[in-house]
Amino acid sequence: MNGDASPVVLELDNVVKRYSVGSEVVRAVDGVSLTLCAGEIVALHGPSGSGKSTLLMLAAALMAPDSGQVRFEGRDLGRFSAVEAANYQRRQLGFVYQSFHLMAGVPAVENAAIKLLADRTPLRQARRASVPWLERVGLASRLNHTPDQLSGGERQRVAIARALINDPRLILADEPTGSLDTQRGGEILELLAEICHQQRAAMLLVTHDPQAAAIADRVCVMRDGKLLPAGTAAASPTILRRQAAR
Amino acid sequence: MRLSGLLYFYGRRLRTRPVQELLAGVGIATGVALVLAVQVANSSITDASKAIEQGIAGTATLQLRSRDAAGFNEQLLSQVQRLPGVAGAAPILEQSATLRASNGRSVPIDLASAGPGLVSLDGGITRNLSLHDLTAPGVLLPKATADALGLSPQTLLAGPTRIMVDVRGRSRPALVIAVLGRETIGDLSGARAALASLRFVQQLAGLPRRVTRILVTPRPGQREAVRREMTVLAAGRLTVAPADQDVTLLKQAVAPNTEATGFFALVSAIVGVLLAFNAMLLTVPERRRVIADLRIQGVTPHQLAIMLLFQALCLGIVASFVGLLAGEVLARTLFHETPSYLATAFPLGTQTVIGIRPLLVAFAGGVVAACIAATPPLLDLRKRRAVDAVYFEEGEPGQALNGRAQVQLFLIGVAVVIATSGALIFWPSGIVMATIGLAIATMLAIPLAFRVAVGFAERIASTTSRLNMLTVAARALRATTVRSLALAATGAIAVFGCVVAEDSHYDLLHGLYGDYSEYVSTADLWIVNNNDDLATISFASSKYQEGIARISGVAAVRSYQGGFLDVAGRRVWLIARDPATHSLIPPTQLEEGDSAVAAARLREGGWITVSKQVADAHHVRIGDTLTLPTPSGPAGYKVAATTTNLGWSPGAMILNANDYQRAWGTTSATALEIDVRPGAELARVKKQVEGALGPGAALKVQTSSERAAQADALARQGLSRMSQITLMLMIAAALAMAAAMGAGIWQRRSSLAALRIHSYSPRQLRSVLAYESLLVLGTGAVTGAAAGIYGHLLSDRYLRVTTGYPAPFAVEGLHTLQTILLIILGALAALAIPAYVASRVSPQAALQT
Repeated sequence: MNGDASPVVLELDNVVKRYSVGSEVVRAVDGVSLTLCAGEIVALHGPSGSGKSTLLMLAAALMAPDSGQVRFEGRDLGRFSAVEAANYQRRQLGFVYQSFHLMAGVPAVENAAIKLLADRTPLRQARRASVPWLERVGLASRLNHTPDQLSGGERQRVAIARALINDPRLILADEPTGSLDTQRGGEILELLAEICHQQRAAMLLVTHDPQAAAIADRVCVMRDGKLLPAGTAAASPTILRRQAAR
Repeated sequence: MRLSGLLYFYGRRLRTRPVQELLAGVGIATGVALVLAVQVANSSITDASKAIEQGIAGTATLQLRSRDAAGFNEQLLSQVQRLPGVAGAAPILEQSATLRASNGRSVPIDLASAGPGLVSLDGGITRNLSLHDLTAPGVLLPKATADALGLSPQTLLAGPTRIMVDVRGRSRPALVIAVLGRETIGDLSGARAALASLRFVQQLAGLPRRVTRILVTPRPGQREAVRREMTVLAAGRLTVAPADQDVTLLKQAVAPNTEATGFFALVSAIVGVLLAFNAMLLTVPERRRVIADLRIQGVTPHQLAIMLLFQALCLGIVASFVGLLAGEVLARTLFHETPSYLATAFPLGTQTVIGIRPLLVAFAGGVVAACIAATPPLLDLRKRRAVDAVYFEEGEPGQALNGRAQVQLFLIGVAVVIATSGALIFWPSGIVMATIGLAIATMLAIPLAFRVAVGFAERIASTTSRLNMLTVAARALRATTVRSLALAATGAIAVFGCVVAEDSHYDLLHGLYGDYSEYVSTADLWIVNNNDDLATISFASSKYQEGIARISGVAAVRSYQGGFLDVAGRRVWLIARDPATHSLIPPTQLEEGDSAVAAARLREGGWITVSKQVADAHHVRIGDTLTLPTPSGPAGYKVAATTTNLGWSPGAMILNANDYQRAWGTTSATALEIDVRPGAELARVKKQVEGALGPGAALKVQTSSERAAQADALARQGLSRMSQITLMLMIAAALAMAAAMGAGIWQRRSSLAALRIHSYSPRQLRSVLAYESLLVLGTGAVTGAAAGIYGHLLSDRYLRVTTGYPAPFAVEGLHTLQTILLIILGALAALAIPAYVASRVSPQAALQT
């Protein structure tokens, strides 16, 4: 969709991540290779326990692979120091997840700014920075509303504003519509896609939501830690689009 | 729902959430243990004394007693026995004495005669003793006394054991006939006492043919008639009283102590309820989810309420039982010591007596606390509440309070304080009610104080981006949940209780020290009986007086006389001083009247000073006449001034020694006051005076400062229980808060994981958690301290006005700060490990729904 000319943002090269479950070793991610370019949206499907969330953690430099490389704009995340990893997460990355994890009793404008505080941005400045993003996600009139005064969709919009406040080059979204009804889920996906394209950010979207296919440039399927080769029935975007249409 | 169903659900809960249930149980058990231990420590003093009295008196319900330690002629016994209606009568001679073992240990005891006459009264003391034991020339020691002297069974079996008995200034050897255990004399085995035949006690005390009491058992229905006849026999020179009068008088003497420990029991109870509430709040999210799930499955709200109540009852019963066991251990170990200052005036026991009432109060309190703490999930059963509401809430579960409610609660708290403080004006002894009011007000003030603290923290944090973690912490606390408030309230109540008790304790110690320093400053050197702290035991002073006066450094030797007098339900301390004494009345202890005028009147004779609460009890004012029951009959004295209680809780009276000698018919001194010539070396004169006493004297020479220091040590020992209880309270509150906060942090792992995803490092998360904890604990501690200072003011007022203690109010700022820091640092230290572990939570936890 973005053409080959778009720069590569995220590159996973034969990545393996193993877990020990009792005496058994589980290969949560088993030799996955994947590339995301600027402005590209890749939807990642797969059953529970297929390794999708682990893949996101690897991409977010929240864990290191056992083998293979995860590169962000050519730099190996596995070689990042703790400070470099924190800077990467603060400045290049936006993360959206199913449980919105907003702070109770805190207005939207501050919930959206929470990431900037970790980077020693003064509160006033952080609040100012979050306003345009909240306006962008349609919450201009809800800036000072606390989570309990917002609907589920609105809470997820705040979470999206929080993820995007640092103008990330990469957005990682884990089931962002999982807690929403179909209509609100669709709206959120459209919003994410729109922002992604406008910001020229790459987005890896882990979802069970068939509607995701409508906004994705590519749909990949994971099973048992492996990324299924393109063209297999299970990985066909056409099938997913058909499901979405239904 | 059937019992099997209730048991099934509770079993399931125990299997899935054992740690939560354990924490809740520990909270309840801690509260129950504190409440029981404090109550038992308090009631044991009088209960042990009661056991001793019953052991001696048996069936006797009346007594004829002497008004001084010298007693009366034992021939009166035959007259009593001849009275119609008397079934039995037995004489007793009781003296305050000190036992000294060859190993150097000494114990102040109550030396009492236990002759064959007591057998007719069927008291526990005589049931298992042979006639030989009761007549042999030697002493029988209750086990507690033998233990205190370090006399082991092996020592006694090895051969005849002799100890020294110091009584009325003389030291005499005595053979230990036997050590009496519980199996022989029951509860009396815990007494600090020595028993001997009447003749032997008379010999030791140098009081031949004298007795201090005759215990009387009237025939059934004859009690009042016997009392009237005994009153005629007493002829106004002896007292006719119930046989257990000492217990009644002891209860009166320890009343301030009872109030103080009652206050502590109350604070402990509130802390206990809060601990339980905190612990139960941890289980609220889980319980709410279970309720939602079961309601969806068709279980009715009524059935769910029964289920919750059943679970709370099970937890409450088990935890309270454990708490009772822990409380008993506390009562028997840490709070076991008996205040020594009472020993010269009352027979005291050392045993811990656990009555049924403290057990029931503590147990019922624990169960009720568990039931109250289990109620929050019931809010989900409200009619308008969605069945599955819990699944759609953001953030930590718990009912946040809005700003209006916070202000309303604060205003109610202010109203409670005003009302209870106002009530104190009309009812000065209602300190416990006022303290309850203040404690409740403290809790009501917490939500608003919390809001103010969070707002203040946000302001500080906004000044620099270096404090961004404080901003995050303050924001996290904005939706102030019931759990945070309960935690802060726990800290507040603990600090409140500690500040009130400890600061009043310090004021009391300062006041007592000041009072006693003035009291003993009338002489440079004092000669008193060993362990006779109030100088109430007489000795043959005349044989020493002349020799001491001849010592070159001695300027003057004066007789000091003192004792106890039972006046209208109080055992009052009498101080009779030589008119030549330069300061007859301790100047700072004067409550009403003019110091110079009062002193002049005392010197003149016919006047006395009286503790204000004694004057109030008798409705007399300055210039009025107060009639005292003296050994020579009723004698009227005019009140020259009123004073504090001079450190003796039932009250004190000061009178001219000449008046005393007339009414008490004795010139025997209970102390000698010695003035040292200017320029003479005090230590050298002291040594010379000691030499003049000779080897057989059981007397002690002390400088006034040594005497003041000894009284201070005694006061500290007497009040040490307050320090022990406050320390326990602080430790329990700190640990319980840490446990509740730690568990709360543990439950927040997913939201912490979310922050980690947003690039918060574990170190930053630790900062957030530390700031949060500091804000919660700090708010509670500071609010509690503020309320505590006011409570301290009320408590001091109570001590001064109601009990008459010298307790000048002074804010112990450093000590208050120390209490706050101890509780906060203790809790933070205990929190460090769970916070450290939680800060290292895997970010993946945020992705789990």
